[in-house]
Amino acid sequence: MSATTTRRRQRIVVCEQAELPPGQTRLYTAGHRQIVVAHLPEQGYVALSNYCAHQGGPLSAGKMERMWVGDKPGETRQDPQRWVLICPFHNFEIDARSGCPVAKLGRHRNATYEVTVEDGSVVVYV
Amino acid sequence: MTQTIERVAEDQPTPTRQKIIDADVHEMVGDPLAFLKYVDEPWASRIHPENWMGVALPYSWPTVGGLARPDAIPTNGFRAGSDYNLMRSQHLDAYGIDHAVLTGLLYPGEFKVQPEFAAGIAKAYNDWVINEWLTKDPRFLGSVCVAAQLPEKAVEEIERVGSHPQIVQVMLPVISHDTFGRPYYHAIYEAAVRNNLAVAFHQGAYIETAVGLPPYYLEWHTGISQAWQCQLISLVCHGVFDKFPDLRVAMIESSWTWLPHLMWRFDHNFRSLRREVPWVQRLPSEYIREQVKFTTQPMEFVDNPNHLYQMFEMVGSDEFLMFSSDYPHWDFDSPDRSIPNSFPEDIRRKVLYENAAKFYRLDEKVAR
Repeated sequence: MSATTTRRRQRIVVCEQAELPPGQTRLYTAGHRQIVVAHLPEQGYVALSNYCAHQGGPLSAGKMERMWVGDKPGETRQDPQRWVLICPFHNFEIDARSGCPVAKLGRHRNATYEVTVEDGSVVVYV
Repeated sequence: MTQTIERVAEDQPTPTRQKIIDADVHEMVGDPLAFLKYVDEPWASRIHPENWMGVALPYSWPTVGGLARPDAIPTNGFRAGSDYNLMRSQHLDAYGIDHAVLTGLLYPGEFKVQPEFAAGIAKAYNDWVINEWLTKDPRFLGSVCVAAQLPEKAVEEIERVGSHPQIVQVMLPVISHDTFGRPYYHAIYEAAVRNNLAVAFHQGAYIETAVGLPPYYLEWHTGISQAWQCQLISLVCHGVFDKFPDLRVAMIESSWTWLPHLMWRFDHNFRSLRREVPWVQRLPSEYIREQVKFTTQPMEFVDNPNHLYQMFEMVGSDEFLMFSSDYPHWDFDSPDRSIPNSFPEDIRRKVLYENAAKFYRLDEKVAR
């Protein structure tokens, strides 16, 4: 992992693509800054602050899963498109793409960052 | 000795008189034989003084008039609430009640045995309340009594009498042996919505606290609001409000000051455990604010009345609360004394009349 700073934003090389397979997350740490990068199967990469919007729990220490939804009482299925990060502190769900808590938490949300693949590396711009 | 202090109705109410809807007035069966004639066979001939004699609370307690205000007991010795003329003069006229929602106190939905018998009593009650009460005074609004343990029969009963112009809700007892959110009961909610009726929950005789039946009546009487809370939680968790977005629910005599705590706790736990009930689409508190109303009685007396109004504000809606007196019971609340002055005038108007008028859709009831 490495980071370079331009006038506008910081460029962070998180890892090689092969090091972050689909369905997995990877934590980037630099000082107090912690960013969790997730590889959503068939959707690409997303990055968000690793500190949960609720009480700052480390999302990377929780779990990423397809979001559970239900069309009618008693029935459950997993949404093939939507992924959530489960915070280890209270099991709150944070939408992996938007950084928003699935169940509204006032106006709180997790910051999200741009992710690209450059020369086989996963790169985050902060 | 009981001294009765007469409260005299004003002959000419002033134009600015505050309109009042009382959301909890108990009309009671007086002469059992007068009720029995509404009971169909085979149930009527099976009722005997030595077997089923109605339902009763399992407690005795220090009292003057039993379950009732002693001054509300009619001179014929029958139960308080059984005499229309006394109710009219002592309550409706005396306080200028514009509408009184009759809530009865015979809830076959809480019978733990013989469900068909319960359905038979429900049908008898509905015919009795229409003929003996609703026809006597246009100020009365009625509740459909159902045996929820037989949902098909309950739906039948809602369809049979639900279109009566004075009937505004389906009555379910707050029981402690089952939760009313379960899909088993959903047909009742569907029928209520179809018939433009609310669904109300009122305690019955068999309601218990979170620890069952504690030794003292004071313990039980203080703790039973837990049963309403469990039923409310159940309605949300089973997706009743998602499935029936037009459903209107009233929690009657549940008290209401526990609401901020319950909504905060419920929302917090929902954020953690939503995955268990993913059919619930929104925060629990949102359903409660939009689809559930509460009644004032039993209104707490708070040392600092401002604190009570702060509790009201914490609920996050000024439309959730409807005045109720619980006439003729011993813990009756007066319409002109139970809401403290810490409640602003516009809020008092809402609580005393406007919230219930809107909830029960009285404009539509008058029109049809």
